[in-house]
Amino acid sequence: MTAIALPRAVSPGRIKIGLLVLALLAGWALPYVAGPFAVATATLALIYGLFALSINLLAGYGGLLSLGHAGIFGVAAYGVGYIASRTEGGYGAQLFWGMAAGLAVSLIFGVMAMRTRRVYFLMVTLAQGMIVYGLAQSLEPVTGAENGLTGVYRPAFVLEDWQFYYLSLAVLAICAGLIQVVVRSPFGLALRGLADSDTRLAMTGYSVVGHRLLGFVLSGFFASIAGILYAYNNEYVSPSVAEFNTSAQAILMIILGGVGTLSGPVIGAFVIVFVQNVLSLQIERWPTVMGLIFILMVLFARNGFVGGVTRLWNRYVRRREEP
Amino acid sequence: MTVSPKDAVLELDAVTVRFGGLIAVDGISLTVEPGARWAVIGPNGAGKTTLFTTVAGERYPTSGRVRMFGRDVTRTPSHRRARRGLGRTYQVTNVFPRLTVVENVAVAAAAAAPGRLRFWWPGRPDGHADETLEQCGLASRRDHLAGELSHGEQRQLELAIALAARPRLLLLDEPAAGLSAAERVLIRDLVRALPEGMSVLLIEHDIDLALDLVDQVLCMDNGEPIATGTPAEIRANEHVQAVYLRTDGDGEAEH
Amino acid sequence: MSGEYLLTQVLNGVSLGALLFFLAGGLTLIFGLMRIVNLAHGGFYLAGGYIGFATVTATGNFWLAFLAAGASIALLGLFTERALLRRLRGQELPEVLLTVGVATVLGDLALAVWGGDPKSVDPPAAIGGTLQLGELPYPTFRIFVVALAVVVGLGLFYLERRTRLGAIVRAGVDDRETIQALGIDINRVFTGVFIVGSLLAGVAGVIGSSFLGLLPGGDVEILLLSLVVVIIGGLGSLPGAALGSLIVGLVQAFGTSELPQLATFIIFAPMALILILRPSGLMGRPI
Repeated sequence: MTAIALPRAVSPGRIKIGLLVLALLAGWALPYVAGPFAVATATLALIYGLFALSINLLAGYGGLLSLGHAGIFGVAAYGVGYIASRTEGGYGAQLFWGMAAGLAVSLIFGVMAMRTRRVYFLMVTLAQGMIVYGLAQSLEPVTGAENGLTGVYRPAFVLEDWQFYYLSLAVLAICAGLIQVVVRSPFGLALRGLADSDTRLAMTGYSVVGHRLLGFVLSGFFASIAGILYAYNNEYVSPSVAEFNTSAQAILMIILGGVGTLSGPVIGAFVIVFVQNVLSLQIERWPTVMGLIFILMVLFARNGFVGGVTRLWNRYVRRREEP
Repeated sequence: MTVSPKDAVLELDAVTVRFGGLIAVDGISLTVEPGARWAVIGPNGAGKTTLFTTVAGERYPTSGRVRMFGRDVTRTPSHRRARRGLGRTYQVTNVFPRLTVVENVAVAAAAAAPGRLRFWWPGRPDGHADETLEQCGLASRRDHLAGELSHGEQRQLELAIALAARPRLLLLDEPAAGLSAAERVLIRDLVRALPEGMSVLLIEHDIDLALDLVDQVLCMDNGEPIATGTPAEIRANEHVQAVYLRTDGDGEAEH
Repeated sequence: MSGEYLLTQVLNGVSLGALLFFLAGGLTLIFGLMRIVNLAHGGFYLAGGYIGFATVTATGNFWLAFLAAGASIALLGLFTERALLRRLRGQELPEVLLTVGVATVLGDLALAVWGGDPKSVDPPAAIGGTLQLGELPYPTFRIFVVALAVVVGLGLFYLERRTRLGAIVRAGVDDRETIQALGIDINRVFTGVFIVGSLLAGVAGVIGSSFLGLLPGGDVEILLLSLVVVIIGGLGSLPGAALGSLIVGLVQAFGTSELPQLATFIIFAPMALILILRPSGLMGRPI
């Protein structure tokens, strides 16, 4: 240990706040400087970013990687779509039933998965997600099967793409703040403990199963919000929302940006969505490219972008501190 | 001394654990009074750790009863026992490596407090967490990740986590496992300094260390109880000596 | 419900179960030994089916299709294990995620090469046509698949329980260190098991191509069914995979014919029950 530590130029906390303000400013400014294509793509990135954050709440902190969250995302979207297209329900009913469906499915999935962990958890959630997809495709009276559900319309105040962009930005910012609160709460601390040692956590007096379930439902709550946003943004719901691919992409976003960080999944979402929307205009084989990115990320860069930058930053600080 | 069952902290009644055809624990009965210090000794494979997991609720006995704080807990899961006042350390270090030292202790302290399921308000380590760290000699490591601590410090943290929840009955599973002589002294002093009202059940491979710390001893062999008594009686017991002579030179780990 | 209908559905269920066993058997072995959930298994199946289809189209020989699909998917398995998975040994989640990447690439490449139209392969005359079971005519090929599954199942079971290799595999499941202390190269055992599993998936693809047809997305569907089999039977257990295949096959057969819109959901029910009552599966070891 060095006797005299050089004062750091700026504390990491301040840098984080500075970056956050910068990101929000950039988010606010985007529609003024970018074209409609970029705004629409960014909206999608915000929605998928929120979805990735919901998976990350469970995976990055609780150590439970769900491969079936697209099921929850999709059910919430279908909830909105069903009320909008098959009943006379207004926006209040659409929101209510979208959220209710998402939470109910989260609860059912959570109860099924709460006694499993690691690879078992992964397999169970994978099967859950696939079943929602299967139902979306076959349960014609409710989901419209391959035709999907049309007749979902955005509320008047967010009719334009740039308006919906701001709505998505606001919702993401609020949800990210809420997730930060959860992570720092007593429950969040126990959730992080759960990832490290569930035997120890139980022996300390926590119900491991209860914590997994609550974590699952909380995560499902945010996934449902993302699903509802998706339904309105798209104004159409089809089985592809609940596809395994949706979950896989979100996980790729998390790995790319940094597991267990708040900004990582959102950064990852922007990278993936923009690369996809730009590349898919040039080449037809986007899934192959995504699969290859997946393999390369897992093999060579599991800390992700935020993890990598943090490490570089720490190395830089350490070098300054130890002359 | 006779104690009525109501007062006993822990009561084992003919506890037996079978794995398939193998009997790991065979009819162990034991009564731990408030504030008593017990050691469970015996050669490798005697069933000490299995007995411990049964008391902790991580495994249920095949037959027999377990009573704790005056209630039957034979089939009560471990987190409920913990909430009623049971604490435990592990032979193989079992801390939260990706939490900081103070968070490790704070998790345990929060478990005993109301609001452990609260997810809408920031949790801050309370004063008790820091007191516990001070008591276990880890105050200077407060904000380090537990995974970065030395083996000896992790053993201290083991104890700190168990103590943070203010247990009435503490199970110590080889607290000095893998420690140097100097570190052993530290752990010994920590155990000695435990509050008087706290009952302790201790497994220790180092028999001298064990007998030094307790006032009652249960010696097991092949899952069966072979002797109970004060440390002096156990030292003098021929049966116990025979068991230890027979197994002299065995390996370290019991698994 | 007539007796004939019942018998047909039972036979459909058993033969679907037989197909599933080819996949679930490999999946469960790979899991038991390597602790890897190979999510590329469905992709292996689909690729095997398309390779079989291409072989039959080119040569007209069905048996050659078996050989070609089995061999090429075994090679693909060798590559996946040696070049990719080995770098991540012991890191459960990255291992699974890697197979997600492989599955994505395989599914998309199959779509690129063979397009989105359904493809199917007709079995050769010797096992084509129908067989009279009492009053009921039933496709001979499906009976053949059941017989083949029984033979392969017994063969795997014999290998696992009665041979030195099987002993090594079983010991490896329990305790990898012991295996290495005996001077056995565990990596070679891993590769071997992975190849066997891949080969079976490739062969299953050919069977499935004349049985269910080949379609993009078929990989995901068959993977779901195989996963449900493995979850119900218990991860790592061959007899569990056999039992699970039978259960899922029967449930699926009756489900698709009685309540086609809810077929996937009906599969969900036994799995949900198992997970709540017995999370380690019917014949799996406790987790």
